[in-house]
Amino acid sequence: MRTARPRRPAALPLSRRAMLQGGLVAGAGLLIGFRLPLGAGRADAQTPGVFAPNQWLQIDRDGIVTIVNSVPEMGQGSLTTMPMIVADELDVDLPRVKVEQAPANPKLYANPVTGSQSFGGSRGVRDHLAMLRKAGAAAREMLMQAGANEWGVPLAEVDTDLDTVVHKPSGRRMPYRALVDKAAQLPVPQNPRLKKPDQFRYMGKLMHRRDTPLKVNGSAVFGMDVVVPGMFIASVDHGSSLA
Amino acid sequence: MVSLTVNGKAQSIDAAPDMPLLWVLREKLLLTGTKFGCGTAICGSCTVHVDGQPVRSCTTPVSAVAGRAITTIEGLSDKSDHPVQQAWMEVDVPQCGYCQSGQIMSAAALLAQKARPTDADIDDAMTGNICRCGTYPRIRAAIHRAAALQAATKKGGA
Repeated sequence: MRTARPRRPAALPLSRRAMLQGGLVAGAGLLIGFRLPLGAGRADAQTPGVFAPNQWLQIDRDGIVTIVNSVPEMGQGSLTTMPMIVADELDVDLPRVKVEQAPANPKLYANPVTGSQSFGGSRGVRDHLAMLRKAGAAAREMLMQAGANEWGVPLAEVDTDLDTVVHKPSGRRMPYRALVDKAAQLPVPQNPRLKKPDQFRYMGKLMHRRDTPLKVNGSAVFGMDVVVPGMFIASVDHGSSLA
Repeated sequence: MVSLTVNGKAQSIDAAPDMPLLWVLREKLLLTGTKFGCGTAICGSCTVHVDGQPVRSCTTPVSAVAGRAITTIEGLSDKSDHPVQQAWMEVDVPQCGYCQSGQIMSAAALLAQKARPTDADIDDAMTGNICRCGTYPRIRAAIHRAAALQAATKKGGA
């Protein structure tokens, strides 16, 4: 050990719980989560509107979508790919989808296929694709239903068009943000209809990475940059030769 | 106490004279954009500019740069609009990104010396910056792009 010195704490990122609570205090609107089977994370599921403790998305009254990404961004692009998946199924403009990184908590954020909160093997998109598509599609379907209810028309006559619910026969339109409170009252469809690949706006296309701007000006936070109260730094003092 | 100028700001720092500049930047000034990689000046991730020259801060005692102008990745530009940073974003150079502050500082120093570097110039100048993700082809492409951006800026500004 070469040195051991305490470092000053840095501001910690907003926690999922804090965001949820803040969001609810503000009357944020639509919260959706998917995690089957339900069980381990029940405590968090007490939050109204969040019936599932893992991957979820939120749409606030400004039409901003926030998703929790449980796959750490470590250069493989999860910060970029995960919102692409949701944006396509939810039919929203990609920049509207914000990402909150999940904290370490295997009970809530385990990979839905492997069951552990470990990452690697190029499994991020593969193992989360179905869940995120379903979350986006369910939210879209609830917004469509809310729109249909508002207009008193059958769901079959309703479609979406980028952040907007559309009544096809009349051409009436209503932005998602105006429907989130109504949509949040509806049951969450368990088997929402997914889009066909030829309907994808983002998936399958080369997109600029969201983490690049942070990695060209020194503001990206790496493990080595994190400081917690009372932390000590240790390093191995290697010998200078193998002799 | 050691006096130095970091990103245009004069600083007086309570540090032992033999403390590496990298430690001063990261731990005294909390400028964590500059990374610790090898600690022995062989990987380049700790590269900063000292009076415009690329220097490995991990093996540079702070006393050696007293009174000199240090530029870190945080100080390269105000709005991430240095031609190298712009090109890095256009090309999406970084993968994990850990080495990229050093790569960018080396590339910026190269372009300050040579406005239109060849592939050979780039390889020469960048050979001390190791990227474990292997982003070298994009680094080279981005440096050429940065050279073009820099030329356009100078032409436009003249």
